[in-house]
Amino acid sequence: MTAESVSADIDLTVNAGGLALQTPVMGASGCCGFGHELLRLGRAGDVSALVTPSLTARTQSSDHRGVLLEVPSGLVSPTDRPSLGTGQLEATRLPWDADGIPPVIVSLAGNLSGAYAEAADQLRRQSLMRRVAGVEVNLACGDRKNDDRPFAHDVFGATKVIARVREQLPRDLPLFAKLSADVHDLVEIARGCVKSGATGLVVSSPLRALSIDLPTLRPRLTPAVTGLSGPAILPITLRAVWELRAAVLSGRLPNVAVVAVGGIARASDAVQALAAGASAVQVGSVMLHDPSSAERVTTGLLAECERLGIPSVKDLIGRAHHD
Amino acid sequence: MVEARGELIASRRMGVFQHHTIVVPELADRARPGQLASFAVGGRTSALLGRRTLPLAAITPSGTYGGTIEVVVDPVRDAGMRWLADLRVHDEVDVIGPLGRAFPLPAHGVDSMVLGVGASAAPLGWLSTALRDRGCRVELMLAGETDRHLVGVIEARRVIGTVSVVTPGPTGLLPVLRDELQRTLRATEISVVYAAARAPELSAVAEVARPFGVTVQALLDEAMPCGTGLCGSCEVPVTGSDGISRTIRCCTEGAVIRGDLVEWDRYVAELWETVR
Ligand SMILES: Cc1cc2nc3c(=O)[nH]c(=O)nc-3n(C[C@H](O)[C@H](O)[C@H](O)COP(=O)(O)O)c2cc1C
Ligand code: FES
Repeated sequence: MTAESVSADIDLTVNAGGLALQTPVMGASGCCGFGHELLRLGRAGDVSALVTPSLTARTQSSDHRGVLLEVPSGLVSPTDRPSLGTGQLEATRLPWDADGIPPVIVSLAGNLSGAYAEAADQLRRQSLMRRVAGVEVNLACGDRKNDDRPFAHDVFGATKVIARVREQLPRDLPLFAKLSADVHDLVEIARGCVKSGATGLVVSSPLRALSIDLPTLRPRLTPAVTGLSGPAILPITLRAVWELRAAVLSGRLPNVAVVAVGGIARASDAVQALAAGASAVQVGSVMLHDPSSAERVTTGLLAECERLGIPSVKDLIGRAHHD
Repeated sequence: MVEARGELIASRRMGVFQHHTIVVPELADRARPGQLASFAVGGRTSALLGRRTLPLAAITPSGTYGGTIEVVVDPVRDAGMRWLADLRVHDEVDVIGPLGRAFPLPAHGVDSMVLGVGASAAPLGWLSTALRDRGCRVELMLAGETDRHLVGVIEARRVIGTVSVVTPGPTGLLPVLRDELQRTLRATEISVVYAAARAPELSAVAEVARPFGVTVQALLDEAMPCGTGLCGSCEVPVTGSDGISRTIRCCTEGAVIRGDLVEWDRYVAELWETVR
C-alpha cells in the first residue's frame, strides 16, 4: 500500500526550518546511507529528505569500526565513526541527481569549530552543492579544545560551530543544529544555536552510554564516544522536543522548527513527536531492522490523521501543548 | 534485492544446528552460491534491532510451494539466532535478499578446494555442485567443534565423493585445520580455495594458502546487522589492487572477498576490540 492510496485528501506536507517536505518523515544521518543503498532497496522515495552520514573536512578512518551492539530495544555504537571528507564527495559519484532521490541534507562533523567550517567551505565549492537542500551539523563530536566534551554539551562550543558553519553557507540554505537530549539545559544550548544562525533544531543524537565486555570486564567501546539509539530512547526524545517547544511558546527560545530523532519506529511514535512540538521526524536505527519503516510510519501517519479527522498533518504539530 | 515475508515450510535438526526451508519465491529465483539472506528477528514487537544475515544454503527456484530458500542457523550464537532457530513450520519471517557478492565460478574446470567451518559451511554443498558442473575437481573439507558441528557431510559425500573432516585436537580446531589444509595443498594441484567461516579461521586459511600462490575466495560469516549497506558496521579493511587501504562493506561488497586483499590481523583484532 502506498501512502497515497490511504487518502489523497490529507495534506502531509510540512516545513521544517525553511525546508519544504512532502511528508514529515525524513531519514536520519548514518542510518539511510548516501542514496545508493535506499535506491537499491527501491526505498529512496520513502523518506521526504535524506540526511547523509556525517562528513568531515578530511576523510577520517576511526579508531573503531562502527560496531553495533544490541541492547533491549536499542543499539549501542561509537559516535566517532569513520567519515568521508567533503572534498572527496565528487569522487564517490553520489546518485543525488538520480530519479527518486529525495532532497539531500548533508551532515557535517568535526573536532574543532574550524574543522566544521572547513568541511562546510569545501562542501559549498562542490558542484554537487546544487543538490544539497540543507545542512545538519552533528554536534555530538568531541571538542579537542574542551577535553573532547561533545559540542552539543556546551553552549559556547555549539554556538561557535553553528556560527562558523553558517558563515560558509548560502544565506538561504536551511541549517539544522543536531543537539543531544542528554544535557542539563537543552534550551540554553538551543538558543545559542538559533542565535548563531540555525534555522532548525534536531534532537537527539545518540545518548551517552556504556557497554562492558563480559569476559574481559573492560568497556567494549570508548566510553566518551559511545551512544545509545533506537526505540529505547523515544521517551527522552519526546521530552526534549516538548521542552524546546515549550520554550518557544514561553518566549525563552525564538520560534524555530524542531525535528525529532531518536526511537521513532512507528506511526504512533511520530504522532507523539509531532504533538510534542516537532515539525518532522527522522527514522534512524529502525531502518536497519526494517527498511520499510519509513514507509510504514508515513502510511500510518495518514491513517492516524484520518482517524483523528485532521485534514493536515501540520495540525498535529504542538497539539500536546494546547489545553 | 527482495524484501518479503517468508513462510517456513520445513525445519529439521542438523547436528547442533537447525536447517530451515522458507518460501520466498522472488529471492529464490535470483540467488547464487555465496549470497546472503538477512532476517529480522524477534517478531513484530521485537526488542532486537539488528538483523541476522546468513549465507544461503540452497535455493529451489520453483517447487510445489513456489521458490524456497534454505539456511542453517546456529542457535547458540546469540538471542536473535536462537529466535530464528526456534521458528516452527508455518511461522513467518521478514527476509531480504539475495545480498552481496556470490562466489566467482571459474570459466572452465580447475582443481579447487571447498572448505567450511560449522554452520558457515552451509552454502558449500550448493557451491560444490556448481563447481562440479563446470568441470572442476573439488576437494571438500568440513570442520567443526564436534562431529555434531559439521554441516552437510552426508550430502557432500553424495555429490563430491571424498570429504575430509576436521575436528579439534588437543590445542583446538585451528592448528588441525591449518595442518590439514597445508597437507592437502602440498599434495594436490589445487589453485583455488573457496572457504566459508568466521574471521579467525578464514585468516588462518588465507595465511596457509599464501605461500602456495593459491587464490582464496572467502565468505566472511560475521555479524551484518542490517545486511543492506545502510549501517556501515560490517566494514572489512582491505588493501586495494592500488596498494591503498580502505574498507568495504561485507554485506554489499562481500561477503565473498578475495583472501589476499583482507587485512586480517587488523580485521580480527577490531572485531573483538575492547578498550585497553
Ligand atoms: C549506525 C548508526 C550510524 C549513525 N551515524 C550518524 C552520523 O554519521 N551522524 C549523526 O549525526 N548521527 C548518526 N547516527 C545517529 C542517528 O542519526 C540518530 O540521531 C540516533 O540513532 C537516534 O535515532 P534512532 O533512535 O532513530 O536511531 C547514527 C546512528 C546509527 C545507529
Ligand atoms: S550490515 Fe549494515 S552495512 Fe553491512
